[in-house]
Amino acid sequence: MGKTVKIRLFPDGRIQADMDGFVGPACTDYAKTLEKILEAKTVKVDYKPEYYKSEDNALEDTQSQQVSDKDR
Amino acid sequence: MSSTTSMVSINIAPLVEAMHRAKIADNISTQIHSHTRTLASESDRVALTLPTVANNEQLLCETLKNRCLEYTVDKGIVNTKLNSHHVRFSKDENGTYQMEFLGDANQDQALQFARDLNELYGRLVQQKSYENLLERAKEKGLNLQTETTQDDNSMVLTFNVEENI
Repeated sequence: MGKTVKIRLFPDGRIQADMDGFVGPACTDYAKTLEKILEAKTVKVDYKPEYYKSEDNALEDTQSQQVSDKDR
Repeated sequence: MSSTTSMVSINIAPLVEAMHRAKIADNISTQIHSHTRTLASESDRVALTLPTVANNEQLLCETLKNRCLEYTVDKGIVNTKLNSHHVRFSKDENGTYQMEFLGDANQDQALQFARDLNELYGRLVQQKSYENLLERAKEKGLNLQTETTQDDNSMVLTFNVEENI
């Protein structure tokens, strides 16, 4: 799944960025890039439910992979 | 891989603290009273102080210019005149400009001016952010896919991120 960034510029100057498809902390790291582009600073970060769900799934995948490696 | 996809929503406040902005928006009507100082006839006496959302000198000056107001800048203090009344902008401890009306000040007029200025400043920030995105996104691996304007005049730009980012 590709990475996408949706940026909403409000008429009062606020900016909201929604990032999708980033793995682990890459999403928050990429916020720094957006800050440079926009000459702005992050004031609030909200993780969507999918973030926590994906973390669990990633752990399951890792454990599954370890089992598979042992079987080789 | 979808199972390791992370999603995050980030609020970014360009040039001003979002919480501070919200507080200003909510309280500006009441703050005009709490910030009112003794009305004075002397031209150098501060009659009224109001907060703004501005914290960038260049954008503040551009906002005044767009409102057809002449201004001067002296050591970080921006001066202008509103209907012959001297208005002075100086930064507070948070780095945000506050505007001081010197001499006699009409409160209704001052409040309307503050609202207009904050609205114009916000639109200027929106426009500046849009220009920055168009100018710099590509070199950071962001490829613009769609661009729409919403009913609330917010602009939504969707980018695909290059895989090597």
